[in-house]
Amino acid sequence: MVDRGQAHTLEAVVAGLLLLSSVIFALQMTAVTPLSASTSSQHIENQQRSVARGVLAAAAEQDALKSTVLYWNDTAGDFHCVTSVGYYTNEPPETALGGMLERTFDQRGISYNVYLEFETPSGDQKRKRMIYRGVPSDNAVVAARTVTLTDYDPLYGDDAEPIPGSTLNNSTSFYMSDTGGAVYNVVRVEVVAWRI
Amino acid sequence: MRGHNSRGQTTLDFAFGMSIFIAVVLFIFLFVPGILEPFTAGVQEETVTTNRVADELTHGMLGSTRTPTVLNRTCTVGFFESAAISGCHYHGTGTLAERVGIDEDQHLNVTVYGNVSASGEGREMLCWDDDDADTLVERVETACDVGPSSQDVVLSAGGSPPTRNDDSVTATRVASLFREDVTVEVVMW
Repeated sequence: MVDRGQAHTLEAVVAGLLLLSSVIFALQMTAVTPLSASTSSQHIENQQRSVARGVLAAAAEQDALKSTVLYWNDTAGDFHCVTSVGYYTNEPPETALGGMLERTFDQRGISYNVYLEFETPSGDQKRKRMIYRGVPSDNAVVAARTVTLTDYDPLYGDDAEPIPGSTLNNSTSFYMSDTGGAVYNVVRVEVVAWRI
Repeated sequence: MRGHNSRGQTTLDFAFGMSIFIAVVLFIFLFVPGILEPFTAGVQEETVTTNRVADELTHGMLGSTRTPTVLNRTCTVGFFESAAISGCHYHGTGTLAERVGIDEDQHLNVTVYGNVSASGEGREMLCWDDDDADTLVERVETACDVGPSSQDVVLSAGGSPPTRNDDSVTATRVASLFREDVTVEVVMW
């Protein structure tokens, strides 16, 4: 009975330590970083998704998608001015779509990949990297748009102008193959964007 | 062994102990919401409304619902001029808040940004140059002469957003206007 006063203080201190240590433990368990999912990061993802869609829609309206998909050096068998890995890494291609992506994403600290998805003669879907900057983060967003190529679409030179007289039918090294009919192939241009 | 007369110490100890305990409990209850605060948006209403206004503008009012994010030049310039133009999906009269369909007590700014100059670095507020060349220019250029005698229209409407206010929410859309890629920004606070 007489020693109880001491016990009250000690118990309170121990209880306080317990509460504090559980808070610290909880903080260590959950890494709350600026990239954690929350309503505000959801808002930013929504903005990026709308922006990526808008870029593709604006590019489609200005016929910029086709000139980028056909920005192909038939002699070298690769995109124009591309690095040896076969896709653009640092700078986007010097086409209208590349300029749009640079203005929209690069200047705001957003990284992006551009993939081209098309059908192979065996009927499978093939995915080719056009611009690749690494593995996207968990908060990446995707927007896509399809472009139809015909047999008589020209290839585009490194100045992003159509090469006179060139057609997809006559190209020897183009990365897609003719799937038959007047339609050469249908390509899905996919933009994956994420904050860095 | 202490006697009965030393029990006063117990009450004091008890008081100390309980105050330490309660202080810790209060600290934790105040501290935990504080660390979570940046991740729970306090401006839910604006977050939803800015997105709705931005989508409404770029997907319909300034263009056509058939071609979302492709803006009609006449409708877009007319919107920022507060003019009533037939064929455009907005009312020519009323305040900006009324025209986009939000409460009068909510503050709103709609601005179109872009980079249309050949040498220009970065994006600038855009302006429709009506009396010289009928083209889009940047607000900072001399061709954008806004005045009573000029028909040029700065593509911006609403009040100026506070520079230091955490409660403002921005919605961004990229659209095509006059064959240029532009950014439509809707800010609410």
